[in-house]
Amino acid sequence: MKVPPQIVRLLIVTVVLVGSYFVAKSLLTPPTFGELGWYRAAALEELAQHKLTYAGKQECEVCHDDIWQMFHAGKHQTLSCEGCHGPAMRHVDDPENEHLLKPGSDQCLRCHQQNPSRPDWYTQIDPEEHLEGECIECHIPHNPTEMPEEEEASSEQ
Amino acid sequence: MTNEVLQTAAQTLPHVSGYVYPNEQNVVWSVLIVLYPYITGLVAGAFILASLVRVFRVTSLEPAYRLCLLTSLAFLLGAPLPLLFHLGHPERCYEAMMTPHMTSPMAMFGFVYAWYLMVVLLLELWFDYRRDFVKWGRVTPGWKGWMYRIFTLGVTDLSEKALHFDHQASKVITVIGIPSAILLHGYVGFIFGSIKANPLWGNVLMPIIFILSAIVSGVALCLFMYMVLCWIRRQPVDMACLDSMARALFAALLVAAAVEGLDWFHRIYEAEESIAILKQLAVGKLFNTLIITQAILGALLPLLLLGFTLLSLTSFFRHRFAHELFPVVRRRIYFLSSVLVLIGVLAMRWNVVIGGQLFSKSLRGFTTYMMELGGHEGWGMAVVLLIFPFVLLAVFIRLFLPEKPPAGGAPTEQSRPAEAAA
Repeated sequence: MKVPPQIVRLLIVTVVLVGSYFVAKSLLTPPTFGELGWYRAAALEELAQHKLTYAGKQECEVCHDDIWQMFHAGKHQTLSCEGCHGPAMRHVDDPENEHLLKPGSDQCLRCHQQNPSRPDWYTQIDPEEHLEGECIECHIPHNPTEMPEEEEASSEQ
Repeated sequence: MTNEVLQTAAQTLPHVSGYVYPNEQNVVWSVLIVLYPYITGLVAGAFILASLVRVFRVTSLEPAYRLCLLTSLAFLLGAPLPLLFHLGHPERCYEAMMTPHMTSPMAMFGFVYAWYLMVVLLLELWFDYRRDFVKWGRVTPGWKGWMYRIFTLGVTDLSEKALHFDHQASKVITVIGIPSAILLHGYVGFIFGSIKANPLWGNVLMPIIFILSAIVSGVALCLFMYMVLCWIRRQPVDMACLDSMARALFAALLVAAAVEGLDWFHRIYEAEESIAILKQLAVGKLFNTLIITQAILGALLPLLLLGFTLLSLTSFFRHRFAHELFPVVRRRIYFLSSVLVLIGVLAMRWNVVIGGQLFSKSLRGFTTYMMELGGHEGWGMAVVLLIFPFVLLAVFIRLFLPEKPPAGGAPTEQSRPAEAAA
């Protein structure tokens, strides 16, 4: 049986296209791809070369032991220091010249602004009614149940 | 870094109501992801309309057969562009094909797409056009002649036996093409339907709803393009063809609207915990696009318009009123209906893609989609990407659906749709 010329030509085109695909695949697939998983194994080494920006909570304890103790006695103990203060690696490397950001009241309101969807047990405030000045005037963010020393002193008097 | 976080929060929070998780504040699947299933649906729908001619022998649609196939091809070539632009690094797209991951539905879509383009659409067009390419290649000078000759792939045999083989092969490919077209668009529905964490998306009816709305939009687009093409060429419209397309549109729209209605009926009766927020979504943030545009303007109104018009063609109506609706009135109603349906299906895609991201997984809050005017995912880019397939189609029509076939080339019935009918 004679194969129609249409089929012959289409087969040739198919072989050329599929062949080109496999040639392209062999040329364009990165050499270390698939060695460890569905990714380029060399990427791990490249990523390890990246400069770190976050230091991690443990680094803070080295110099700020007093705050660390207070922090772990309070309700905020599960939070990350860098969650409020931002990435700290540069500060760890050069504590004298690189300073961390001191967050303002806006940062507190991200979690504590009154919102009907938040559960009742969660501390929430209406900033227009509750807030006069900055949060830190009355609260210590590292241990929110404690009062600032000046306030305590004035209340004792 | 902290300032950036605070600025983002300050910009975002006013657009959020109730409780929304931090990663739900911004809508990440933008308008470009709305366009992608819309354009893919037009491809599948146009192909299925064309298949009515080859497989189901609806001969009245013959004048629009090639237009349907070319429409399907132009929109298929435009379909991946919204995805590429959404991803932000279009130059990396080849990597998905070079290292294909067999367990990723999104990665496998590349192969579904390639199958549909290479094995279905291009093959069917090639078998259908081969005779014309040979004839046009012989008489057309310059680059166009070269192009036609290259497209023959060197097969210049025009014997009756060869042409008969072309016809049979074209038929077989159409039979393969119907499930492929359904797979192409069912796959898009599957992507959404398989996201079980989202109560609006995670639904087994989703692939079916997508396929049906795809057929509706594709038929509407072909009807629209056929009328526009005849109008541009100042050719009379083949009313038998137009009536058949309108019947197909009416039938597809009826089934699609019924299934979508069933989906909502089922959700409301089942009353899972998500239904409260879905109801709020439907009558709140999606009111204009879901109730007004998709349901009333995009489905109910075209159904009534097409229903009454097609009723006038029945012997019952003719017997009572001694006349069917005048062709000029029918044409206008069909045109209006096709435009309404096209807008309605676009709204449906919007409601699924954007609507599904507007409510929180906590089921207790909403966010807002803020669409920018410029930017790589804004209004401007969306309009450009939506117009692009039409531009491509205009080029295809100019090259492959000439008003007058190249001198010496025997005119074929398909290449002169309106003239043949007139």
